[in-house]
Amino acid sequence: MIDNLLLGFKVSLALYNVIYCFIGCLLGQIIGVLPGLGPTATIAMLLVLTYKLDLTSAIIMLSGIYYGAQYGGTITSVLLKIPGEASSVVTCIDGYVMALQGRAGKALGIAAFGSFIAGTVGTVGLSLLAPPLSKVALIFGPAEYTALMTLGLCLVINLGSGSNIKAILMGAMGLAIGTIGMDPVTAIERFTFGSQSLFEGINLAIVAMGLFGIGEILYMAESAGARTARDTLKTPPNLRELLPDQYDWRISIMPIFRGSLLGFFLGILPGGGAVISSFASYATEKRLSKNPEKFGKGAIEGVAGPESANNSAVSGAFIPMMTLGIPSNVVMALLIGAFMLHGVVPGPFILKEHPEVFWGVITSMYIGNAMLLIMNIPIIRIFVKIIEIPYALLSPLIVLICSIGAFSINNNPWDIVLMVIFGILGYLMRKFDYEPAPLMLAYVLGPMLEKSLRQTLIVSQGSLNIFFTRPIAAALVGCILIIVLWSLLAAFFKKGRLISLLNRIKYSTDKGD
Amino acid sequence: MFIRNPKDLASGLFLLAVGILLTLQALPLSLWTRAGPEAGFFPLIIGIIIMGFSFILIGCSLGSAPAPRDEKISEAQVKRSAGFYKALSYAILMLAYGLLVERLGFLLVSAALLLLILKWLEKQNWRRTLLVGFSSILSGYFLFKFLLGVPLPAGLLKWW
Repeated sequence: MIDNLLLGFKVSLALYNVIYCFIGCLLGQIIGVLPGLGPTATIAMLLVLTYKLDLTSAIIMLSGIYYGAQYGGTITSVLLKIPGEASSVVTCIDGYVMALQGRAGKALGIAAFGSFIAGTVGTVGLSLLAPPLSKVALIFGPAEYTALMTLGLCLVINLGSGSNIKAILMGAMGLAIGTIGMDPVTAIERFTFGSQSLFEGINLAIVAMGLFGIGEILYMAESAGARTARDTLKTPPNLRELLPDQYDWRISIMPIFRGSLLGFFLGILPGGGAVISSFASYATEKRLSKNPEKFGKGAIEGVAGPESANNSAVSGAFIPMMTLGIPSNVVMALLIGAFMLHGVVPGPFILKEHPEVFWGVITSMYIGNAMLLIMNIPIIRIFVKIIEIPYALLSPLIVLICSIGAFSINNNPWDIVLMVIFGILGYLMRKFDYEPAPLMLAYVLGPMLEKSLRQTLIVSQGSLNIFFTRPIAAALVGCILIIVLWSLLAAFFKKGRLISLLNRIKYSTDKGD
Repeated sequence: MFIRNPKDLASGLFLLAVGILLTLQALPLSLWTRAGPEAGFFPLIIGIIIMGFSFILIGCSLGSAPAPRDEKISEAQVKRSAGFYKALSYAILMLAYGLLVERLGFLLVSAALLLLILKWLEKQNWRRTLLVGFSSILSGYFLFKFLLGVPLPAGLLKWW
């Protein structure tokens, strides 16, 4: 373990990797501050640029964007009640009230320190859990992979905020888009309609930039609201005000540790991640608090817990991606894309074949979290200025970068057209209340799922019993059935049918029927 | 039968069409041989899933009573319809960019794109348009052509 960490630090402390880590963290913080433009769209745009970089440097930079964004989202949540990131929504509840009470500094300070502690806890967890999980993953066969990927898709569909039917349809659409191009087993052409451009399928970066980058631009163009945040801007605190005092630490330390653990384990789950972790932490702290009535009125625990959880979740999310090659959220799916651009498949063999990548990325997170803590506190005032850049100036820049980025993949202008088509799809999905996450995840998992499903059926000679006779696969299928049953029951409860049924049973029992 | 949710109905019908198309395209491919499932197997299953859930969505969007209607068109709705044309214009400009960039060249087409977006769509003044446009194109050109070595199309400026 120590040897591995030393190897990792040797890689991550190389000057060029420190610079890339810094660039990633800085970009991530800027993105986190800007509402609307998230780490997903940014990583999607930068994916093609990383082709020219060394794999380790590319992943270090892209990872830095992801966890950096969690830090940045807090600033606008506290000062403006505008969450920079979805995972910072819950921070608005108590963080903004603290700012109104003149305690913005305490809120930002405890969020920064909490995020640092949680990020470190998460990275330690990743260092400890990833190697043994990689060994367990080596005994996974096609049946286990099929069941695990199906479980992942079910969780993403179920844990989304919108309609389950729409999420299932988007998941199926993602799987369908993943079938375009060459069949993964027999290399037969499918759904290319004679187009050479589609022969190798649709590039992940095109789909991601279209759905998340261009789709967001089109949606923001339609919304066209002038940002009036300046009117509500709270004056950013100075350095001294940002340091929590002994009392703040005393009431925040346990929420920080609880949030770290909760976020880490929720981050491992597909569909989990930073957003759900922050909400779960807030709910937990409120339930455990001796004074739950102060939540919503400036409780520092309401900032410390969720901000720790969302940072720790980032580290947790790396576990299934690095050990099994299965993304637990859209950002991890894009990182898998970055690996594949360099011809490396993340999964159980990465520890053996590319230990410098594995440990280099993990140790870079220790460095990145320290950088973010140092950056976050003194330059908050600069980040607040960034919010004042109007979208009218940002949008054309994003359009240009996405367009050149799409072109540069294959030097094919039709990729720009394809990206715009996905952008229109992303825009329409928002208008018609469909979530893009199930589509994106299913698109990445689709080819792997198809390959492992077909391999499973070849091995079992067409019998589905294999999913019940192999213990790990059976356990995973059991989890899938529980989730499906849970969704059906939840739908039943929502419509009140079960309640009225119970009332009818009670009535007939009272009557002595 | 009344339409309770037109958005769900429209999207349900679109997705049903996608499901039918996928199923029809999958059927001519080989589905199953003695070796096991073939190229058409997985797309066929997905097509059936899409069709099935599209039917459910369409069913949920219909009802025995009409949905309550808003008599007043809100100010937000008026703003949204104006914004729709702006979003449409963005999409058309980007499609035109994709179709013209190889023929006319990166510099000319990017300049036209940024000029149209900043001046026409975003209603910026000339100073900002030229400053932001010029610096964006230069930095994009430098980043992609020199730093990353991407061969950007010269188009009409190939003599340069």
